[in-house]
Amino acid sequence: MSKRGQAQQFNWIFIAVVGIIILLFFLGFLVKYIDLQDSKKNAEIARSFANSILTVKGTTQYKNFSVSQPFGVDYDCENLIINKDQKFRIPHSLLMDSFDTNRLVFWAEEYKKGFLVDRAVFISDADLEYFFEDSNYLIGLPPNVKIASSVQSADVVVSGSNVDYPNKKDIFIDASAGVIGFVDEGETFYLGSDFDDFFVYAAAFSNSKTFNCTKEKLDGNYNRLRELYSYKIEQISMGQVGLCNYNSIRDAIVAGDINQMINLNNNLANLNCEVVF
Amino acid sequence: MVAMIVFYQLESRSIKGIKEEHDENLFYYLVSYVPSMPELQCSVVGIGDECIDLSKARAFSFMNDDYYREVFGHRKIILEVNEDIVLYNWEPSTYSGERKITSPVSVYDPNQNKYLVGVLEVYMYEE
Repeated sequence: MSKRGQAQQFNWIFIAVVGIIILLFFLGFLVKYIDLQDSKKNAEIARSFANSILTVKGTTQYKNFSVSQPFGVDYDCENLIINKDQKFRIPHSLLMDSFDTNRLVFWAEEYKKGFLVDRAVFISDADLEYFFEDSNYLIGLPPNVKIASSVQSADVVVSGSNVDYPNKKDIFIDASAGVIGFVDEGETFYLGSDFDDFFVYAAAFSNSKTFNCTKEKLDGNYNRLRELYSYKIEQISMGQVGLCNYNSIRDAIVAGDINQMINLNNNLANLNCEVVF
Repeated sequence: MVAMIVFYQLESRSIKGIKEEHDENLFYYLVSYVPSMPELQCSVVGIGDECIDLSKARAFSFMNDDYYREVFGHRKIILEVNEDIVLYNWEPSTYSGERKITSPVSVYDPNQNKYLVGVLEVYMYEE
């Protein structure tokens, strides 16, 4: 081959190599750009999602949330994770299971332990149907949660029997013993005197891990509020005279004796004294 | 190629922008959320009322719990009512400025059995 032919061949190889490099660069950019657009979309969903949580937490109302494409939501007790990509820190009490959906329902439920402890936010897939064996539990639900008329049509079954229905999430409740069980996960919580309707909803709309960590958060709030009410008693008892005695209710709050603190608070109201909560 | 890299960088920053927007929303949200917190809200025999309990506010100003740092972040919250009650303050080590939003609030003083008009101030430290 002549020198000219060799040079031409070299030129073609050089052009091909440069062409491949440029093509790879464009392909790489395209892939990165698509990932970036997905992350941006996830961040926007996460922001709207976090706003919905804050809205219902402040107002104790319910709210529907929908987007055009289904998206995945996980909660690790600290962060909301959208499509396993964008994280948003949520320090509030939150009860939800992981899901992949484009329609959700948000609402808040008050948790009281003598006094108001917190307004926990509940989030559910709007397409799931819930069956509560004890229809009294239906009263506390917002109207946009779907209620199943029978076990067969339900996605989640809350009942007094420890039965594992196939392809359903099963929650076992024994109110008299203060027990709540996540049948499919094999987890049981012994709440004893802490048992409250609130925890029945908490179990129905979450999983055992979220249930446990949210209960811990609520216990933390309860203890902080006990401390706060003790401070409050110090202040209001200074100006009160006569029948208004705050020593007993302070002792009940410090001891965490809920029935006693409710009775003593009602007594203060009946005596026209300033109530504690 | 340079244009593509610049474009990519700008798009990347827009995600940060969305998170900053969320922080901004949280700042405005606090003005409505703080008066409804169980720690501050008035209540009579367990029923909540639309006001801040002055004795709870004073008590809350003594609470020093990391939990509130998670909820409020680098912010300052003051209740102005006859006196200034600093409900919360977590100052960053360095900041370039402060932004403030205020809202009138109804305040109940249980010692005087009287309702007062107060102002809730929420400050955001700008880093």
